[in-house]
Amino acid sequence: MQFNRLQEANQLKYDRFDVLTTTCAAGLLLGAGLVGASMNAPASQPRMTASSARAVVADLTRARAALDAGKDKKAIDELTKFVTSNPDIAEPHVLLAKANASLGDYATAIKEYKTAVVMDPEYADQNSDKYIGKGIKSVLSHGWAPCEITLNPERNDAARAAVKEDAAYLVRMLAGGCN
Amino acid sequence: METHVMETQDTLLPPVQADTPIDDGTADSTWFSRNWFNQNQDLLLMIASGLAIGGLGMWLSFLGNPRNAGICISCFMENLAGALSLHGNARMEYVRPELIGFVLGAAAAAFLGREFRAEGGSSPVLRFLGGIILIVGCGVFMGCPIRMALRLGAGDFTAVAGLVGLVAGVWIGFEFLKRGFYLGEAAPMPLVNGLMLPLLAVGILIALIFKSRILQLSASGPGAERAPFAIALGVGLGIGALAQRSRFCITGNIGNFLAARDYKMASGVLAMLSSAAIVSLLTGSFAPGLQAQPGSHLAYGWSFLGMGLVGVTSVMIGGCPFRQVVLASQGSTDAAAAVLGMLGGGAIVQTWALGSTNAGPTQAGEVAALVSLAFILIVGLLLRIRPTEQEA
Repeated sequence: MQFNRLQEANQLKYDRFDVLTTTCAAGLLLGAGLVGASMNAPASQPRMTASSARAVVADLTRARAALDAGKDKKAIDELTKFVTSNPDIAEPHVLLAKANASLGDYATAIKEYKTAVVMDPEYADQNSDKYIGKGIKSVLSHGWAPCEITLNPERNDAARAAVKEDAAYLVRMLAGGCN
Repeated sequence: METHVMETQDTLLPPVQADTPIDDGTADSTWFSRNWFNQNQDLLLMIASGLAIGGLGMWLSFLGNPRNAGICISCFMENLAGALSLHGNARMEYVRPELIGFVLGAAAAAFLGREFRAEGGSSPVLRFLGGIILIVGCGVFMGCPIRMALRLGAGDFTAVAGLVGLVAGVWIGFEFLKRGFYLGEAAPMPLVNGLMLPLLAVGILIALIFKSRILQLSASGPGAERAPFAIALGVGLGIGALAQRSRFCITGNIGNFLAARDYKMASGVLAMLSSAAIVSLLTGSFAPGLQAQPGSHLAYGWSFLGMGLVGVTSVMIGGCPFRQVVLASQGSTDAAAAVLGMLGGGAIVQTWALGSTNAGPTQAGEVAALVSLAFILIVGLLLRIRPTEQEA
């Protein structure tokens, strides 16, 4: 089929199809704009006051001390409460993972490690001071087989698959790449 | 030594220049090799480009660049956007010397080959949007077509979905071309227009060398994973020059193979995959499988769609992301519009979290990919040249 390469814009001939597709394109862009506008902007974080920051540090210090003293269950209780009131801080999830791993609950440990790494990828970055790859690998290597066995029998296959998915995510994060 | 002048020239014989000295007994073999080289120059350049991009890309990862991302135009654009403070992800801020090298190497090769031509005016705004869409597609897949090849070469089988998507996208793009899709003619422009991108690259390089405060550089994360500066720049210069001479373009190669069974074009992609696999084996980074693959996810459908978007868009705007950089470096202001779009896309993908993570694509990324695909298909239908009344 031969096409005439139009050189001048004023030679263009518009037909109903052109008008229709142009309208579609414009409608699409408008729709995309509306979808974007309707997406909830992340709620702005309330500014932490000096006293609340001190309280956060004190809570985490207490939880760490409990963990160091081998009081894993106590640490878990404190950290769980802490996470409920401070959902945007990644560190308690690392501590929760450690505590759960100490108790042999590797499934929960893997989930907590994933939460921590999603919130702060520096935990999986070898070049970062925060790197905790050793601990994660330890849970994954030593913990995976027991995890398969110790998963609560009531847990269904979906829960098992979710743990596997979390573990696979951690493995990919530790592998590096431009993520 | 006696000289003579050829009066006539048989086309079957090697071309003999006037005053060419008559050679001794080795003339036949010399002629054969030279003639064979001349006949297959395009093929050899294409293979050399593929080998260089695949092999050196993996080597750059070995030397410090992020794993399986030694060369990745979309990652480089996101890094550059971060370095210029166009987004706020502190882990993705760096001016990749390879990218500067691509621009300057291609510009130098174009000047030396007398192919530097400042031209433009072929739907620059659409090309700018196309550049953004390219990076959105790459973000959803997690890598540009070159990184896809590097991932495949390193044994990352999750990238197969992307390869299939890219081929499908290129096929759709070529169908649009066959049905008259046309962005308009590019016209010659004053030389300064074509020089702007290489000059910008020189400026950014100087800022990088002197550690200017206008550039933000990551202290951790992928932006902090770097191959040595001099090697990265040298590799970029070499690959840029080679790609300019060979016209290497992944989507173009795939498209020409699909449309015309042009094996010469396919040879570049095959060479790239082979050299990436060989170098990844030699450097110990070959890890076949689906799990534990760096910078990947298991959402195969979205990988397919992301690379499909890249394929169709690349064909419509005349080249893959890497080819756009090379074209822009040899004076095409249309390609420069696409490159600036890619830079903007790098900022948008990071700011709006459109790029996938190891956990999979984000919701915003999925919406962006679908909207982009719909938009590009509508543009493909809209910008078709129909037969004129006389021809009809």
